Amino acid sequence: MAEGKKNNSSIYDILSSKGLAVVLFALLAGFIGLGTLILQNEPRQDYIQIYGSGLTGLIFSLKLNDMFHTFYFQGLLVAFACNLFLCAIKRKFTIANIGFHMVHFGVIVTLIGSLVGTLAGDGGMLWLDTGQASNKFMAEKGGSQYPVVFDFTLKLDRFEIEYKDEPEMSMGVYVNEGGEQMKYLATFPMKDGGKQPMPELGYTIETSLIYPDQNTKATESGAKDQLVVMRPPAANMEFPLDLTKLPGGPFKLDDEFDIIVTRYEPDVRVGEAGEIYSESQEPKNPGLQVTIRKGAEEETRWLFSKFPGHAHGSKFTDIQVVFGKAAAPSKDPSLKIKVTDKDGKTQEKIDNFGPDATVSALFGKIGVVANSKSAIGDYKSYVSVIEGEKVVQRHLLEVNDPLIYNGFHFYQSSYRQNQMGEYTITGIEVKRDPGLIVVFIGFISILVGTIWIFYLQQYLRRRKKK
Amino acid sequence: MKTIYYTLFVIFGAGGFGLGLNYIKRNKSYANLGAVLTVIGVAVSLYLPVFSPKRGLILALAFGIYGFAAILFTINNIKPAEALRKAAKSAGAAAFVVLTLHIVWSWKELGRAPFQSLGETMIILAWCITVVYFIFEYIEKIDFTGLFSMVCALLTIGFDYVFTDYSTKNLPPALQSAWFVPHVLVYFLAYATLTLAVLAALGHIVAAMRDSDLAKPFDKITYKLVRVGFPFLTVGLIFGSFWGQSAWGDYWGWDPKENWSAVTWLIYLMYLHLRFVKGWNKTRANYFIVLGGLAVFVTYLAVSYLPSAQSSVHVYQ
Repeated sequence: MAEGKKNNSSIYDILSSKGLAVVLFALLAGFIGLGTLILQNEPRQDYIQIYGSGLTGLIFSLKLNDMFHTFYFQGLLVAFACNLFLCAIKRKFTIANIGFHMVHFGVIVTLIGSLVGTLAGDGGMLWLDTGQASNKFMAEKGGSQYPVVFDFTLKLDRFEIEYKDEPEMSMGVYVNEGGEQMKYLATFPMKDGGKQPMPELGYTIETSLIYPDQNTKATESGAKDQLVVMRPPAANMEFPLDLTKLPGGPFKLDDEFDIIVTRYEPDVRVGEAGEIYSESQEPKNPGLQVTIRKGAEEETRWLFSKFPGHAHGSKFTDIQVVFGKAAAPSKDPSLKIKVTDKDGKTQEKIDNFGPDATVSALFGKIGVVANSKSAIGDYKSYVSVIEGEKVVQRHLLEVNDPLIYNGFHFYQSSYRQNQMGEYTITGIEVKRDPGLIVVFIGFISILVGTIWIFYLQQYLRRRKKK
Repeated sequence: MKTIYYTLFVIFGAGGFGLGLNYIKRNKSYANLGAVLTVIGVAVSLYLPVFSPKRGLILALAFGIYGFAAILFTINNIKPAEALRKAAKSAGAAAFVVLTLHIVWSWKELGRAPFQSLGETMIILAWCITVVYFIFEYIEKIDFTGLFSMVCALLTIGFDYVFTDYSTKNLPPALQSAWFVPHVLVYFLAYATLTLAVLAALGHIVAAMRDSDLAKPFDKITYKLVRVGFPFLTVGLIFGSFWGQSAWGDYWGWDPKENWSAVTWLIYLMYLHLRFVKGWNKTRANYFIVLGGLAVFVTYLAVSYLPSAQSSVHVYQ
């Protein structure tokens, strides 16, 4: 019996030992490190490209491509928590040991909170276009998707992207040392009227911006309404429209087609009897009625500038007529790069330099690659929370400033363009984590316990010695 | 341009060497030579147009003075002298002040904390190493780290000059957070402390191999440094989790940088526990400090090159 009790004690001693703790730390560190060396949760093709097909097979069979959700890694975390717990209860609960217990129980509490969140929490993306509302999102867990419904509605009132006032401009300088490729030297910030001396190379590089209108920084020219006729493989034909003078046309296509613009409505609505009318004079949904004639055949249809895809379905399948806007004349500046060598000889290059442009030029021994990058300052969503018919809360959703409502957390995560190429769609990460508060309690316990053990306790001991 | 910075280092270094030789040879002509070279170094720094804008000037001065301090500490370690030690400390303090000026100036010019790019964080690391040195020197009266501190600071500033590019003003939306400064600063204080701990641990290991009396003091210093640095590491980890939660709703995303910071934390945790495990003498435990130093290097620099890290938010641009 005493032998049995001794064996139990020694098993308990092993399970609660610092030695076992160190082994578990080492295993955890090893697996976590391995999880960074092997790609995680990527398409199989990426693994084959990097590791080869043989190793990829091994990686997938051991589930190393999703290391942190394998049963053995989760089991290791459980073993870690058990060892922590046994270590913690082994020591007396006294004021002197309070830091020790706070740290150890803090880690256990954090792991428990994380487990609760993993099992009972939901998370996924919600995409909303401007003016759109939703009371649900598609959550993802374990590779499958399922809808999660709110007991309220979230509406996107407005989405904004803020650009920095000036694009960020830089120039990379390369030098030809006789090899196959030019050698990269350095990158410098670039500005209008800037001068970059390169004394080691004997060159000076000057940069300046030339704007389309010499006296002003931007020209004013509104985009014009136009009719665009697509007839592949021929180039598109564009016919400017004056919507104040209707009927417009006929616009002729190679003596084969005639297009006559017969009616314009700025804000098209369809009535109960199928009649077309304008709800307002604001160009919210501009529509154009056109008659297309080919010989004796004729078709009358409506075109909508916000829905160019509606141009399909015509009986004339070899052409497509679209109602749209002409591109405004470019307001983009041009970049002038002027390089002067040590003998005073200069060379220049001028090229268009709009947002996100790259201009490259070779000047004798050196090459210059100038870049302009639109710098996004911020992107934000103005959202409303609606319960019943009533707006109960408005929030400006930004990165680092989430909306928290009824247990759901909404994070500004992404954005994308609508069909017209405008950035009006916001991507919101939605989370519901019942274990979050437990995790935070664990974190704070670890923080306070660590400061206690490593700083306060040492300070108090020193004071006691004195 | 880089040649000029190294030239400055040589000038300042020679200045320090001259002053140091004065103490060894007791010959004032060396001191005079050293002083002249130092003055030339300062004049060259102020005059050369390549140092405009001011960033280049202030940082180049800091670089030169760190070199000067490193030389003085080296000579003091070879042939200790109280006056030389004070001169070395004063030079280190002067370098620290100039570097602080550079950081403040950068902050003002960029309109944000200069903690974003690799080059900027290298400067912060140099600054933190100097802070840790002076704190340890003042509280613990630990002097040997002076040389290591100056050399580490010198290397990190030099790395910034040689290998990295200019800073951009733009801070991406994810970094526009109140957590940005505390998270980065705490982590770099941890890295600074643990870098010095690696050097102390190596000193202990070498001293233990040679059965030297220095083994015990080195071990003591190592332990003290880890006791200061490990909590910073813990705080940095938790601050990062709070930030991740407020930014993305994820306090832990198994991001490669997060993972390696966890690996680093676990290695130092192993060291702290091994010191109390029977059969593990302090020398064997100190090997984990060196391993931890490697983990810090991977976390800070190498992780950006892993294929798994290419879409990570923590990769330096």
